[in-house]
Amino acid sequence: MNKLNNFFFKFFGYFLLLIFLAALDLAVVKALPTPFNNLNLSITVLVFVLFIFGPRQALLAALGLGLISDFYYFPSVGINTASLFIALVLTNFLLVNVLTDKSLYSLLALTTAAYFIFYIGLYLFNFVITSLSGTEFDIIFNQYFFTSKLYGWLFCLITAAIIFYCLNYIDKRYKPFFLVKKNR
Amino acid sequence: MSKKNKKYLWKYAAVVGLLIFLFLFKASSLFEGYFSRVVNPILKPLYSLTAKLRIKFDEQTSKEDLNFQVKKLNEERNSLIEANSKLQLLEEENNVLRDQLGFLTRNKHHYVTSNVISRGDLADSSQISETIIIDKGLHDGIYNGLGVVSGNGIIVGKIVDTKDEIAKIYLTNNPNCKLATTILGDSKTSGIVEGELGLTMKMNFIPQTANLKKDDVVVTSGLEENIPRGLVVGKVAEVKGESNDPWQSAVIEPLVNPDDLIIISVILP
Repeated sequence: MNKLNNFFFKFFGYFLLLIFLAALDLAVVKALPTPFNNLNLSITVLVFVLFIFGPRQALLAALGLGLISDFYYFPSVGINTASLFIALVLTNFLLVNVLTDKSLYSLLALTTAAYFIFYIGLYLFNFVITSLSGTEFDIIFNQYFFTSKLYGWLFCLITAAIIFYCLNYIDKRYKPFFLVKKNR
Repeated sequence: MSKKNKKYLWKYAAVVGLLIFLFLFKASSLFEGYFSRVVNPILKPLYSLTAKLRIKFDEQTSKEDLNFQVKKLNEERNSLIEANSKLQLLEEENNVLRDQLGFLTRNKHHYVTSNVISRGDLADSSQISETIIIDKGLHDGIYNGLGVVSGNGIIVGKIVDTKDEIAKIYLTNNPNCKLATTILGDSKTSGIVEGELGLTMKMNFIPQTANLKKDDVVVTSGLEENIPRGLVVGKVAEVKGESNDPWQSAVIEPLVNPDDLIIISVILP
């Protein structure tokens, strides 16, 4: 009974946390003035979860966040869930095989990879869906498109660095950005 | 990656596949509706609070233009007072005539007032909001094609997509939002107004014979289904076209800043 209670509270806690994150992303970040509204909070947090807690927790969180995003996305065909999933799987591959060092450099590189993979996936899925449904692919690749994505990337990196330093303040296991030179 | 993690990966992939399947066959819509009913009340105050903060921030940054704007608005107010007094006289005269003719029904619209809960879309092409999401949907009688007005009755967009509890609106500055309109003034020209790069609106294919002036008011023509006649769209900011061109075009300036929208009303037929 106790185990069941624990599981229920844990599940409920995760659920509330995901709703809080999705609400922040949908209602707060999107309402911020340009260019701050280009921040992708979901990707930043998910990469951080992957970095600290591992792929299982990150994929579970991605599933929940993707699902909530798709509820508020038109047309809802699960493209946010699928894009987040692909982005995290590929980022995890990089974490396991290439960027194994748990430093700020790795976190920033992983955030960069996840951010661009997510958007490539999202636009590709969107293109496929519009092609299949016979509607027009109305995304304009103008200067605004590229600058907004660059700003989004920049803000994701800044947010990731802030979260990393907050964690570093609490737990010293993660390597800081600048290595301290001793006995020189 | 360990064998255990690989196993989990396949499980998650299967769940994602199942979710996409459920989305495609609209099997998720019931759960979506319940979920939106729980989450919308959280999104509403969060969006409203952040939007108000943003408006305050914008006001602070644009203080330099304030003096110029005050002067301009004073001039505009004076001319409006004059125009208003004339209109009041006409309204009184109109009321008398209506009573005499036995007009019982006046054009009163039914509205569904709703809150903006999010903004932005993949297809947005400028820094200004072109798309917003509101907390009312099919369950409140909203469907695609309905007009959306701001608090002061100015048309700000059209419903383009709906779910049970939420709806997506293309604002008038969105290139995909098209409205059947008429320019008030001497010419009474009709045409289609569409968003231009998210910043302003434009009206094309206006005959050269039409006499357009800057500051002419553009209203909906009523030729479009579900959008009533006479809703103000904006003012003519610039008239373009050489004398040897068969057509001229007009740049229409919106009267409402799309970024400032927090509460809107959807007009029901």
